[in-house]
Amino acid sequence: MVRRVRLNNFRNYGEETVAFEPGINIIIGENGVGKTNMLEAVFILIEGRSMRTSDIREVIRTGEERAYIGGWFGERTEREARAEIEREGGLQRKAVEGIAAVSYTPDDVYMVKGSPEERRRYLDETAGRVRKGYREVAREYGKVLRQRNEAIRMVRRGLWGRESIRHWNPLLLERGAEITSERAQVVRKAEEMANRSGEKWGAERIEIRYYSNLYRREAEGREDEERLLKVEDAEIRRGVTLIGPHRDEMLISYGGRNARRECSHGEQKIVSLLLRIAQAGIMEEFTGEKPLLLFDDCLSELDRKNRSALLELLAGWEQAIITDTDDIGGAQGINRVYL
Amino acid sequence: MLYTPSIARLVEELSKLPGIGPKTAQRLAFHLLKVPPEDARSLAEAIVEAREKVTFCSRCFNFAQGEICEFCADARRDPTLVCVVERPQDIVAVERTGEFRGLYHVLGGAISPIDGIGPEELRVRELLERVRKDGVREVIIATNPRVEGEATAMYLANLLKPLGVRATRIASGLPVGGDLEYADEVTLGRALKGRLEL
Repeated sequence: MVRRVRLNNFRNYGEETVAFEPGINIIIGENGVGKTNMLEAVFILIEGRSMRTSDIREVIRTGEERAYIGGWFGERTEREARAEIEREGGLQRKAVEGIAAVSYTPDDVYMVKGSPEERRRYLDETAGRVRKGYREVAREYGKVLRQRNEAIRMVRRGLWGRESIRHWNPLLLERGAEITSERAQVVRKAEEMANRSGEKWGAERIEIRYYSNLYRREAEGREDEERLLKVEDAEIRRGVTLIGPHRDEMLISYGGRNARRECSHGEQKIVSLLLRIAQAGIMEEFTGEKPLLLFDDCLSELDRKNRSALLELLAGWEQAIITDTDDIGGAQGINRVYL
Repeated sequence: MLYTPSIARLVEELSKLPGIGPKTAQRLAFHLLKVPPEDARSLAEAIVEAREKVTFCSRCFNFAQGEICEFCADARRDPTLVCVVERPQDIVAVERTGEFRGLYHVLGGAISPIDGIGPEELRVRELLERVRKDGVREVIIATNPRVEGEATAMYLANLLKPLGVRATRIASGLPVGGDLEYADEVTLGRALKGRLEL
């Protein structure tokens, strides 16, 4: 649990210290005061990366050389974490062990309404956070794919023989099977966790189906190898690998309707929030620690009933920090942080 | 100009070496100007001698001084057992284990289409030739456990099997001294797939 955060030359902040409480904290302020920046700072402190940018130096205030984030964690004994970001050296961090964070951003609705790639990214991120080896496997698979695609292009240009595509096939299928089986497990868990929270919310039932384009998860059968040979002509024509988990899809239905095509934006937002809460639940089940929830702009676009359902759900969590432009009022036991 | 022409040339040459930036190059150059002249000469001669005398072994393509390398020339080593590696440096690593008494074959890299390296760029034909001519019983493929090394291993295995030679791959799995409890699932999973009969 985070008690206090101090920022110095971070994004729009000069010097600022904010205190947080257990349960729900709402950061309230007008557009552009730095609500999202505050969540980002806490996320960097805990996770060592930003959820908004891959170039960490972007967080240094314009005209300054370094940004500082300090945080004090724990219920009774305070443990200190710090992160310094320099234009030259990048990020230096002293973290507090056993604390994780899950972030929700308004763009997360694209996990539901966007392309399959966004949904695969959710599965990969979740698998990577609970399975130590997953990120390495995903990295290897990416490498195999790039190598194989390059071989396809060499064949297309008439420089190499078809054999040079084929010797990547066993690896493509092996690493692909590892990815598929991990993702399938995440899908089952995510569905279970999302519905567990969805029931408390009063939301409709979520169903998630993972469509793998590999036949065999164990890669022992020959079918997939034969299929790869069958699509070879098409692959050479199009210049890319056509079979493998990089083309898998995850279909989400909400109350029996296709969440991508048949649900309203508000419903899609509910589903995306439940997917993030499910991610936190999966992490908790794995590590025994409840991650800190950093939910940006999670209340907007929801009607009054859904807003209070979400707040009630978050109140059952150890700690959540959320942002809003206006004080929703009414709800009790919520710590308000005015910026 | 920062340096006199001779120093500038030395700094420039040194900074071409891997892992040497301009600052280190400058430090090395000034150091070489400070040491006794015979030390500097000895280094220069060592470089020239190594370049002139070291060639590739005509059999295994390891570095060699003369026609064949020290391993291929060693009659006590088993010529029917061949360990395939990517680079000469890898031989040093295998030798350090003291577990291998056969000969080597240096491919000169691994298949990597991104870098424009296909089987034609590697010493594959030479390996097959050796297997056919020298009565090789087993080829141990010790390419790096990266995806490029794995793909190369599978490619070689497919070519070797029809020749009636045993093709094996070095095992990968749990680190020595590790605990099963703390092994990550992927490593453990692969170790299980690559299990051995006892």
